[in-house]
Amino acid sequence: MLDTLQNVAGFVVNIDLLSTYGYRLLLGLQITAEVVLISCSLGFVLAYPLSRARMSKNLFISSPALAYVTFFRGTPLLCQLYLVYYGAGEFRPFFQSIDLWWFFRDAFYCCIFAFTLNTCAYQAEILRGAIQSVPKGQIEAARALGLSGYSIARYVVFPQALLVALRPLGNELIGIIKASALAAIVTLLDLMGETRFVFAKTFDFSIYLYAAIIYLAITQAISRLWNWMELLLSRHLLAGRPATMVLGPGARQGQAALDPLRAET
Amino acid sequence: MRFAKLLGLIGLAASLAGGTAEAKEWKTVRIGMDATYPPFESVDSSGAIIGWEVDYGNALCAKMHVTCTFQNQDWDGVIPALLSGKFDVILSSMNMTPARAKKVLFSDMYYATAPVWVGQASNKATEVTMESLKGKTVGTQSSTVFANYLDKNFKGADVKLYPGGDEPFLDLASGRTDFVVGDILVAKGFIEKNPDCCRIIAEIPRSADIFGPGVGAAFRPEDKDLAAMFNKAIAEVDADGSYKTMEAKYFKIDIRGK
Repeated sequence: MLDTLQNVAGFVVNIDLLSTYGYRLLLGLQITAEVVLISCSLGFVLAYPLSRARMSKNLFISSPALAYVTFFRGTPLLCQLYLVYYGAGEFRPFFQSIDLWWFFRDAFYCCIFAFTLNTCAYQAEILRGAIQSVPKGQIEAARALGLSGYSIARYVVFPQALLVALRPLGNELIGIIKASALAAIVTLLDLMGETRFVFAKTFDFSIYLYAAIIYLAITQAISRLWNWMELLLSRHLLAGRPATMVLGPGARQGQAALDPLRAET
Repeated sequence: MRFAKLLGLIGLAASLAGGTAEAKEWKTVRIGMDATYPPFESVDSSGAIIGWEVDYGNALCAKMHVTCTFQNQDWDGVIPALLSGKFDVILSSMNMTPARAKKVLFSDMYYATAPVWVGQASNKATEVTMESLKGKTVGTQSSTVFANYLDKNFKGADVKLYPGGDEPFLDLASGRTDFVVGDILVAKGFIEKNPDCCRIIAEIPRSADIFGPGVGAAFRPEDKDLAAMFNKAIAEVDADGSYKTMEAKYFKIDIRGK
């Protein structure tokens, strides 16, 4: 019994392993962060025009956009990554002729490329849903007041749509962080890649536990950050309403801590 | 009622799992291999695992009078899968290195081939040194003797590690990497199919600390009886000449080693 406990403790707290290879996990974490941040931001920038294309009344614009979104949301990211990485390798003479081989030669750029295309499709659908969730009547009313197209977007649609989109965008970010572990199979030494490397050298399973803890810490931190942002941005909706109605029980404390005015009441 | 059935199922599953682990008499032997390593083991267009090591495994099983099944397993996880009982033996071109011998029990050696440096077809060098690796990248499969060799002798080189055995060659062919360290027969098999891609630059001497004496079957340390059965079968397949026949079917060179 004591033996088993010692084994478990040795598995969970493996100082030797951490002191020898811990820095490698941190190096990998940096690569993971770069891949996720770059591809999610690029994806977000591209997602808006794509969502507009999806909502376009012109079939020549909306159907390619629909096809794009359907493909990238309907196939595994692993498959897309292989298509980009090994597919580009097959067409090396072509990429060399247009001077883009330096880009597709590098596993890091290939990952950014594949992840951006993928997350862009998801984010575009999130934005589209959010924009369409704003009641038509409000836009008609704004028009009746003589607001310009830009003003309607800036003051009526976006503030409401972005609030709706915030939560699913956060989920997408968390999803990409977890999916970024796929980068390891095309030789990128991200957090997962370094973990596999260390495991290959030591045959010590604990390293996977540490990687999992790091991933969990990051996704939890983001999830909390998002809760906080959501509270901050939806204060105007909460005013005059009991916090429990909008955010459910348990949200009241967070709200009170955030907003000194409410804390007094 | 439904709950009771479920409990029954769990009990059955547990007894099955326990049963195979403790069975003293081997009727079926589950063989695990990473089928990304032609011509030794690969998956054909119908999804079946084929290759020299499959033929060899079947020949061994015939001698032992047991039924054998073959399972595909990602290389990085092949030892953990064996130890956790997903299958009973690894027959997957595993070199018997000192580091692995601490985790698993090895059979007698059943083949030994040379590791090689492979380079671009345009590369006419006859050896690879730290100097020639400057600004170049080397690809190899992770968790292999080749990866350990690079790690030990070429520290600081830009090494790319792939999960499968065929992927380093794909990237060498596409020009993403400049060199591959791999097995001579796997390299030859790939070059035969892609003659313009690359060439073998030099053989690497098999140092015992990194490469071990050669390739053997790996078992869980407690399955000494199974290892003994395999050793007997390995000797029998050698003795009756069927090893030579199988070898000739796949390779132009002698792989038996000594």
